[in-house]
Order: sequence, then structure tokens, then C-alpha cells
Amino acid sequence: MDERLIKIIGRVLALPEHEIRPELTAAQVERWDSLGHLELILEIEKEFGLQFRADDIPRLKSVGELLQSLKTQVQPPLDGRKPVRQPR
Amino acid sequence: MKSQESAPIRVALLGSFTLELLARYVAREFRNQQIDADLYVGGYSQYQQDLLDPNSSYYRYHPAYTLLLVEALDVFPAFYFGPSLLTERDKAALVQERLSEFRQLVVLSCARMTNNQLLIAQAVFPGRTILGPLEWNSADSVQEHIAEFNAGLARIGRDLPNAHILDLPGAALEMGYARWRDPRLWYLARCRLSHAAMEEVARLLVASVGALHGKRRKCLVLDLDNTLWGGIAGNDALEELHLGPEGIGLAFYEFQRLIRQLKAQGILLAINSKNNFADAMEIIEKHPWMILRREDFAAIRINWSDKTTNMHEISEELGLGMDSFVYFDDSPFERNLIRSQLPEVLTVEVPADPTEYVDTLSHLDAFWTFALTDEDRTRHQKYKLRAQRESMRKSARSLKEFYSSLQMKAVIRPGSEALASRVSQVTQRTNQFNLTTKRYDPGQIRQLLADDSHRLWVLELSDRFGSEGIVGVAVMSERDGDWGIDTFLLSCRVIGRTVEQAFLAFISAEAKRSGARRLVGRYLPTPRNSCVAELYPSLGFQPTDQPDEWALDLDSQTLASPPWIEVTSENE
Repeated sequence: MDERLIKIIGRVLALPEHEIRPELTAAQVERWDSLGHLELILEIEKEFGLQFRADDIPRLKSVGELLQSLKTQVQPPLDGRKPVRQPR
Repeated sequence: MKSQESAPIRVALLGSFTLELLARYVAREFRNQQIDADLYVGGYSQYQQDLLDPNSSYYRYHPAYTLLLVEALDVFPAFYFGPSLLTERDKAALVQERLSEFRQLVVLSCARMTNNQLLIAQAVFPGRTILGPLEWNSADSVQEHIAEFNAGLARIGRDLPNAHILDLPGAALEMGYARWRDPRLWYLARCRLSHAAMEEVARLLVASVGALHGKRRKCLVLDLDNTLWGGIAGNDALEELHLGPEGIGLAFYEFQRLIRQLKAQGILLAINSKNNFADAMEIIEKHPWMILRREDFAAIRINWSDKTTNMHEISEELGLGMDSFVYFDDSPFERNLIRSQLPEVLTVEVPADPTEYVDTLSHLDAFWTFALTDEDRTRHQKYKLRAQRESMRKSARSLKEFYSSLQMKAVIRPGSEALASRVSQVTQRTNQFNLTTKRYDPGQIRQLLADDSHRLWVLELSDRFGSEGIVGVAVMSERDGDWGIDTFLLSCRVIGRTVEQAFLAFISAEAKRSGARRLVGRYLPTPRNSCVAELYPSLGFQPTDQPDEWALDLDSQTLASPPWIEVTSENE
């Protein structure tokens, strides 16, 4: 699993990192309500330099789905640098 | 400001859109700045009800600060979605209608809560609309109406002492409106701000609360080589230095112009530089394009000592704590040194490219204030005089001779409405010579003035070098036949000149005249005020049975004013 993702999830949702598994869903986490979800999405976007489509956002309500979406969205950094945030 | 001083600062967020998400950014920013704050978050577009209803949960929360954040798209949706469906006159009328509603809300809120500082954010409106070129080429124009609305908000802010304006349009312009907004958050969560904008609003709000709380830094300490000019003093000839209208020299020249402007805003300037004194001084005094000259600096250290030692000396010379300083140096080595040795100094992260200095300086919020006072305008002169006094102290044969030579005159007058904001500011800013460190806002000062059981005096000091203005504030509260010293403070500029003794002698005489039995003072320790821990016992006050409390028995004890200060008092 992506370490940066685990760190963000742990920080935003106040979860110990060992509890963050792909099976974990929003319904199981108290702070993962609709607001916590947006906060999480915005932090992920900032860290990975990407932007989700508005209609994808409400669907990404488990760690597994977040992981999957990162795989399809993130360009692997060519030279180890962080990908540049796309201008809106 | 730190949590050790008091309970959390209560901050309310009210606005025209969903603020819960923003509140998380604000809470995080307060934590990052190590300010203990508690938040109230108004409901979606509930700001009118919150401010109108005297029993609203907002009023029951008793905030110390309120951010009122209203988006132009929420207040004037038709300006964006149907600008051609309204006549010019309709638009102007709508703006005036909204402004009078706002004025009513703000006046109500300020009257109901004199202790609340209301921060009114000006409205942000998209830079471009569906009108395209019709915007400024036809009567359908909307931008000028938005500008009028924001100008009206500023008038409201200027008319009310506890209302202030937060320039969000300026912040949005700096960031770019395309980054400021995030339509996804509007459609998914009815939030008008993007992630980046929420970070910025949180930063602005917390910096503004700091500025209103008296956390303004007072002195900018500058390096010289590659900071004020490009090149090395003593190495490069005068005409080889980059400074002036040519090429990159303009970056240094314009940087100096901004520094001079900061000085006009009441910020002291100092030099902390590793150089031969004579080489650097030649540039400062002779270079044709230098804007800042020797007399612009309140303290100068140009030598080969390490910069930490110099910072300590500057701090002592100016009588300012390390948390009053901002340090600007192009050398990462020196910045790291100051940052690690003197963490209370704000060390600016200076960009490697001098063409960015101007932006870096103008974006700094450490020098923010919401109102310039006479004190701010004359601060530089006062600190220069202080340095002259210091050199006299060194040459005088005895302390007594030094005090006499100063020809000090103190004028003590009762507090008045006109002095309320100045007195409030002094209580907010004085950390060292302050027995109780009670912070009062102007509204609370006015309450004290109206209250018969309290008395408030201010002390102004002048000497042969000039006037220092108000340097002392004392608040007395009568209880059970005693006078309690609620507040007793002196500006750090006059510490060590026996002014406190003259002031307390006057107060004890007043207390006795009004029939009080004892004058009772307390020392409430903070990390900054240890210099006054022994004040009361040193003047003959006796310990009471309460901890940190001392009393002067007015029947058996009198306090004499030092003979070298001429005291006059103006009565009510």
C-alpha cells in the first residue's frame, strides 16, 4: 500500500496506521463522515497533485477504492519528483 | 496569546455558505501557530439570524473574535447569473439595500458584544462573467457594483471601533480566482472556497486575530551584503554594487523602498551584519542609490561577532524581547543559526533570488496592525533617544546623577474616552513590566471608565530628549475599604528610571485622600514579567496572607516620589 496515502488517512481520520487496510470503509470510522471524506480527498489531491472528478468523489468511500483510484489517476513520477499539481 | 496566559480564545465563523470544512482549516492553523482557540461555526447561511436574534447560540457563545464571511455570489446571485435582467439602477439599489442590512447587523452585534472584534470579509466575485466584453462596455456592468459593496463594507468597518475589514478580494487576486474557487466543493458541499483558499482564509484569520491581540512584531533586523544591496562591501567597489535603476540593482532598490515604508508604519529597523564597519558605513552613507541611511536604523551592529551575540545586544539596546524581532538575511547559514539559537525571533525564509525579496516582504503578516497609532508614528524617534540616554547612563558618575541629568517630567491624568484605544493597546502589548498582564480591549476600558468602583490613570513621561508619550497605565478597584491594584504597567522603554515609584507614590496619596485603608497589589507571574516579581516588597509593601500579594498600610506608611522626577497631575 502507498505509504503517503496511509499517512494522510491516519492524520485526517485520526487512525493508527496499522488499522488502515484496503477493506476499511467509511462506515467503520467515526470521523469518516461526509465532511471528513472531503477533507481526506482534498489532502490526497494536494499530496499526489491530482484532481478527482466531482462524481467520483462520493464513491471513493473505502481505503481500497482510494488506492484503486490513485493507481488509475496518478502518473508515476519519472525522476522521483512529486507530480506537479494540475492547474484547474 | 499562548495557552498559558488564559482560557482558549473563542472564535466564531459566520457566513453565507457551509463553513464546517473551513472550520477544520482554521482549527488546524490555530494549532500550527500554537494558539489555543475554540470555534463556533454558524450554520449554512445562518449569519443574519445569528446576528439578529439576541438569544441565538452565537451570542450565547460570547466570542472574542468573529469572522463574517459573505460571498458575492450568495448575496448578489443575479449579478452573476442574470446581469442583463437588472437595470443599472436596480443593481445600485440592491447594493445599497444589502449595505444597510449589513450595517444594521454589524451595529447590533457591536452594541450587544463590546468585547467581540468583528472581522468582516469583503466579498469575492469572479473576475470574469458571462458578459465578456459587455462587462465594461455596456450598462450591464456588475463589477463596479461589487466594488461599491466592498467600499460600503469598509465604511461600516471604519465607523465602528470593534469592526475590522478583512481583504479577501486582495487575497483571491494574489492567488488567482481560478485557484480560489473549487466548483466541485460548491456543488458537493455548498462550500465557496477551494482547498488552497481555505488554507489562505485560515492563515489570514489567524494572523488578523494575532494582530488584534497585540502580537505585532516591532523591529526588522537586516543583513547587508546581498540583502540591502547586491555584492560584498569592501570587496566590490561602490559603483560595482547592484543597487539602483540598472538591471537587478532595481530589485534591491525597490526592496529598500518597501523597508522605508515599513518604518513609516511604525516598524523599527536594525542592522546585524558581518562586515568591516567602515566598509559598510561608506556604502550606507555615500552610495547614491541607498534609500536607507544611518539615521533610519534604531540599532546598528556591523562587526565580526556571531550574529546571535549581536541579536542579544540589539535586544538589550532597544529594550525589546526576542519575540519583537523579524530577521531578514540572504545567508541560509545565518538564518539557521538564528532559528536554532533564538527561536522566538521570526526568521524569514528568504528566497534565493533577490527579485523575490519585494514579494516576500509585502506578504509578511508579522507587522500587521489594523490601526496606526501616534505611538507607531513616533516609535523610531523614541528608540533613537533611548540609545542616547543609554550612552549618558554609561558616562554618568552615579545613578542619581544620571536620573537628575535626564530632567524627567511625569504627567499623570485620569483615563478618558479619548484614550481608550491607546490604553487598550498598551495593555495588549506590555509583557515585561506588567504586574497582572490583564488584557483589555477598548470596550472593556470604556466599561472601566464608566464604573465608579474603578479608577484608571495614565502616565506620560518626557525628559530633556523629548516626550515618550503614554508609558504607564494603572487601574485601581475599590473593595472593602482597600484599593486593589488591578493593573500596573510601564512601557519597557522607561524601565529602570524609577517612574514606577513616582506613579505608585501618586496612587498611594490618592488612595489615602479618598479614605482607603490599604493599597493592595498582586504579582501574577508569566514567562515574561519576572522583572517585576520584587516590585512591591522593594517599595516597602508587606506580604499579606494571600500568595503573591502585598499591601501598603496607608495609615502607617507613605511612599515618596523620587526627587528627580517632577510629577504633575491633572484631575477629573
